[in-house]
Amino acid sequence: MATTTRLASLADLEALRKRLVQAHDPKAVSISICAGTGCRAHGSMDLFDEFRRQLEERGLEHVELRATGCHGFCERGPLVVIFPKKIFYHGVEVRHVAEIIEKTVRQGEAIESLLYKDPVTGEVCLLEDEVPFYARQQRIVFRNNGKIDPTSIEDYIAVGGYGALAKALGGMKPAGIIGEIKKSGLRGRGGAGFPTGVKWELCRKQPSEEKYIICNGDEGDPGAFMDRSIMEGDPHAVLEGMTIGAFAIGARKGFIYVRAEYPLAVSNLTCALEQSREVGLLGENILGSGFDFDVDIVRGAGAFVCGEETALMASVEGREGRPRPRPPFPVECGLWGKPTNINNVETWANVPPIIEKGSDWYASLGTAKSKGTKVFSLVGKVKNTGLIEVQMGTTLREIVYDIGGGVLKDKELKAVQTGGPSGGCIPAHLIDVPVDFEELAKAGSIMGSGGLIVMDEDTCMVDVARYFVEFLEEESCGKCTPCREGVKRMREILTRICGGEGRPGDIDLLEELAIAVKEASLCGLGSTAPNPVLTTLNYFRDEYEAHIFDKRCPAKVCKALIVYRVVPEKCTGCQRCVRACPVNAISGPRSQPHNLDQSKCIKCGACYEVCRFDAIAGDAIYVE
Amino acid sequence: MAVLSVLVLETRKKHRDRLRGKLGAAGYEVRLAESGPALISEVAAARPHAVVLDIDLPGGDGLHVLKAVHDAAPDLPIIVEAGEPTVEEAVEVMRRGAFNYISKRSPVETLLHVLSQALERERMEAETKEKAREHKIRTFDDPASLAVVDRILARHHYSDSMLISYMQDVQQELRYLPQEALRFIARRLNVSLPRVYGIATFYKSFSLKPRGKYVIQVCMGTACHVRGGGRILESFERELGVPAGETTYDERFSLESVRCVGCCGLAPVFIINGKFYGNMTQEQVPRILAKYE
Repeated sequence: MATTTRLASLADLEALRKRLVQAHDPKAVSISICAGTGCRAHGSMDLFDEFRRQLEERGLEHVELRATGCHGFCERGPLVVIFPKKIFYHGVEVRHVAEIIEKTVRQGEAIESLLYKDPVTGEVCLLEDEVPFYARQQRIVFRNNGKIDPTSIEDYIAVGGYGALAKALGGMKPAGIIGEIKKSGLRGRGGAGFPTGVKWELCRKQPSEEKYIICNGDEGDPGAFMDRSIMEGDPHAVLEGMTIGAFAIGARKGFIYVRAEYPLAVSNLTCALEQSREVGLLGENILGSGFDFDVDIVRGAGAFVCGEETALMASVEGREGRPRPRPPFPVECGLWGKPTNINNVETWANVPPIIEKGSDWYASLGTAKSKGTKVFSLVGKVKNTGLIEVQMGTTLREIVYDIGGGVLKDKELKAVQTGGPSGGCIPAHLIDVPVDFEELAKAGSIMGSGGLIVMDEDTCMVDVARYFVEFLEEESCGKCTPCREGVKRMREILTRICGGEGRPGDIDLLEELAIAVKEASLCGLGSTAPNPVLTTLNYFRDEYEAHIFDKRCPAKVCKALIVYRVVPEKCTGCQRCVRACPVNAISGPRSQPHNLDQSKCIKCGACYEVCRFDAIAGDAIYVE
Repeated sequence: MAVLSVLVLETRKKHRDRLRGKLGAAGYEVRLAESGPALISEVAAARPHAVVLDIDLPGGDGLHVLKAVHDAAPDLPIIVEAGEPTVEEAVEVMRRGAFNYISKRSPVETLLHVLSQALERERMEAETKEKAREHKIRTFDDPASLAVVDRILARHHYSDSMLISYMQDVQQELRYLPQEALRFIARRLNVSLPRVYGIATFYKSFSLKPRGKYVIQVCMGTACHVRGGGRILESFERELGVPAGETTYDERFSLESVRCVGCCGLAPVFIINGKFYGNMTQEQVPRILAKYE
């Protein structure tokens, strides 16, 4: 922060931006290393240290080196992008560092072995934008991820950050800002899709002097991690969005509620908060406008239900996170009884670009009722896993096949699960559904926070339903009976079916229970809890029937209904499975087909995982 | 190892001398008691590691002596010898707290074997107790821990709206939330203990039990589930011999299942003390665990 002093006015901010832009040579080579959680797991921080060491060793300290937020393409990490050309390397290891510095940094040449090769066409992609995974995306929320160092406010300001705040404070009235947000058609990205501008207006109209805003970063849906990436990779965008929102609503205090499991997000947000306070972008009299606003971070402590807004507020107040009935809605009576506006991380991050570029621009993207872009986490049985941002209305086919590269091992697509535990499974035959709030609802699912979990022929839909219901049983806060008891009973029935003890009539019972829980539960957790069961029953009833009547698991997942066998014709006797088996159930001399002792087998699948010759088959059998 | 002492009450001189010789040769320190009352006072004065008691005391006092010794020292192993063993007597003797019941006509090796069993049991019980006592010290009486807690509370001026945050910091320092820490927090912030306890049990990240040196969190998010996260968890359970949610006996590893750590691109994933492991298979589990031994 040596170069930056307190910004007392809009002009100060612009002057600083000018200085930062001028100091930066757009043609200079710089190295950006993905330091998102995925790439860190691949060892990207070791890579960063190695680059720094070798650059110093070679007297190249002037080459800028950045640890950025998540680039999205987690599958291929660690990712390294060399600017200004944006040469894209994936799967980079420490041993590659010297070559990259010598060839790419010094001479501008690409190293072919590190470039992305399209597995379908075989085409080599030099630049990030050419990689099919990125080529079809449109990045608004993720505009800065991968470009800037999230721990540097100068980086953010240099790419135009806080420009929207300056515009809002400089010339716009609160009503005008709300008008813009309303006109843009932005809807809440947390799941329900409530129009953001309308919510802001409701909160603004409350007569109370004291109001609060909250950023919901309790990304609880398993399978979704976009909020994490935004908080980690572009924390100032969230703060800027919140400051604009607070100004429009008339709040002076904000809270960011971050999940317990996201320590890096907490640390980057804390860093951003300190920087913003230091330069006067948070605190009293922001940019000389007379507007005061500050933000505190609240760490969650591990409770899925805290994603529900009334539960979240209870948690912020330092109590157990149990929901309460609505109305009154938080905009009327929220935190400590004051009007409170809650939006999700991605929603807040959408605010600055809308204010900066205008509502017309934003409204031109997306579909009739769902505007703009949406970030999805494309995970599960898909080749290219990671975070993607596409326009609303992009079809599932484009997402799974064009961006995702298709199903893992080219197996057959069975379904795409959206919306987390409150969502549902969209079957393969609806793959051409354009993804927006309305279309997903029509298919029986919801947008949710944007998790897209791809499931292939080897995924058992009854097991998936059981998985979600078990999750919700564990996370149910226990306050209302339909959710506490109903979900428990549904889990019992599903466990029974997966265990090969399903009874005729179980399906009807499940449906009856599901409808009761849906209608009678207190909060969103309970009322959406039956969705995974209802959609799988709707689209995959045959799988339920196979489990109950034929005692067969078509996807070969449910342990009670499968046996593992060695296929002697395929077994080469390599002994890998013999070593892998934790209970010594497999035996046999080298180079001869092995024997699997069924009486010892615990069906852990370890042999199946290590067999390179497809010689171990999970065969469905009849259970009397 | 210190010499183990055995206190013997045997009425027949010949057998008594034989026992003294054999036990002495086996390395035990042998002390002799003259009578029942002498045995009882001897146990009270200097507790031996084990007692060998002749049940055929004059006047049929054997059972009374047995009960008296057992009441005075419930953990002390008492091996009862009988000249004419009967099933009825065996039942009665065991009921009164004997460790074992053997015939005087059995070879001395039998007695030596039973004795070593008894002493092994006593050693293990003592160890368990020692361990429990260590916990107790850490749990209830350690003033240093309470000073840590107080420092944390002072950071935000003992404001009760920061309760959850305080508890997270305390857990980070002490690796779990000891009962005394919860009581202390409640007293210091002037909030009810049920409220503190409610929070500690409502939120999943809090642990009321000491956690191991290494905390293994196996992700059970949806992406990890469909890519075999459940099998990874089972494989840890097998390797460590404890179910999810438990800590190994040596307090080295705690095994936990968590719902999505937000690293779905690399499913299945687990974390050991903050370090992420992605794209895992069951085969890799023992190898990775070995690094933390």
